[in-house]
Amino acid sequence: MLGPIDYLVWFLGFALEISVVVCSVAEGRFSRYLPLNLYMLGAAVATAGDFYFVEHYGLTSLAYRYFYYYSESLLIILLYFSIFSLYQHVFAEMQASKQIRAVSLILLLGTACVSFLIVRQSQDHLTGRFVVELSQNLYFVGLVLTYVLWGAVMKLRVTRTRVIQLALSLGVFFSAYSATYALRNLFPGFEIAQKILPPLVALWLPLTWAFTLWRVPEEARLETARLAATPAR
Amino acid sequence: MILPAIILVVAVAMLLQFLVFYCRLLVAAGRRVELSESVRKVTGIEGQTVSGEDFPRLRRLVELCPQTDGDGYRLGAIRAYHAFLRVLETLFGMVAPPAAAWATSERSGCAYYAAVTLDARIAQTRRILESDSLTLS
Repeated sequence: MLGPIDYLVWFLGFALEISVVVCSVAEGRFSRYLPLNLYMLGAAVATAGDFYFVEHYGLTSLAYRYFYYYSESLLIILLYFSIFSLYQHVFAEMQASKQIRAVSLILLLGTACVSFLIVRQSQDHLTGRFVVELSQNLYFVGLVLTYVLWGAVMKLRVTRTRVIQLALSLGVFFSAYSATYALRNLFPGFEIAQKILPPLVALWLPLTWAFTLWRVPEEARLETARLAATPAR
Repeated sequence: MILPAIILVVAVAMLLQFLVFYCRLLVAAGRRVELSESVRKVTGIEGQTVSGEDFPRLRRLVELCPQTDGDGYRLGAIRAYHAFLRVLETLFGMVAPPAAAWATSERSGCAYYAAVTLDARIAQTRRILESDSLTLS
């Protein structure tokens, strides 16, 4: 049974996801951050869908579980596109968008192929542990991609505060989710990793992105170069 | 079982690293700001150096002023970072002096960041008071 706090977190997540898109539209930069906005729209639809399935079929129903895990897998793929759009922002000055698009396409096809092979081999147990394992691996790939993105931010001394904050938020999100799923895999009966951490981690990304788009101006700059060797004062 | 364990360790390490990166960015950004004379007088800071030990005192002073521009969460992050650095400094003090020295330098940056926040809050409070007195007159 879901309690009032669960519903509150659910509603908060939906409101934040929508507010990211509203912030982008209000600022006239919807297309500039298109993949990020599409992800947030998708996440909002998935949140509404989760609510519908829980209300109509119940929290423990197979229909809800299928919807939850498959919408999540699709959302992670959308999130990969968001990461690649950030790569394009980072490498904008090097005019490497063609190469980035090629790499993202290869990675997407690779992930799809591997997932397809795993699913084909595990057709008889598509629920439960298998989906947790798949999500864990997808989130971990996202984490590695974000880490490489962060490396590029540092190496190229990107100073745009927005890009830095969006990338850092993604890093925290992917690492927290990977850790949560790994915990679930290691300790299937661990209540905190099963019920408390996932909705809280899910709030992180819309919360930080909404904050970034709302409060950090596009022109704001931070000096990442200083991190390489911070002088003592 | 091995793969989830590896993923867990790597993910937690990266999570920590991303959070530290964020705090270091804030500290580095704070270091670029020059403190006003009035804050130097209030805090007793002379020159460009602030000791990391001054952080709790500066934070208490910051908390006396009203928040500006949602800076409370950033100061909260710096506070956690400062506590983390203190642990690091204690742990590595004997084993790895360069790491301890780095932690000391970062803690000093945290204290400077608190002074910069205090400066911003005082300036904002003054602006509000000035605009209020203009409205009243």
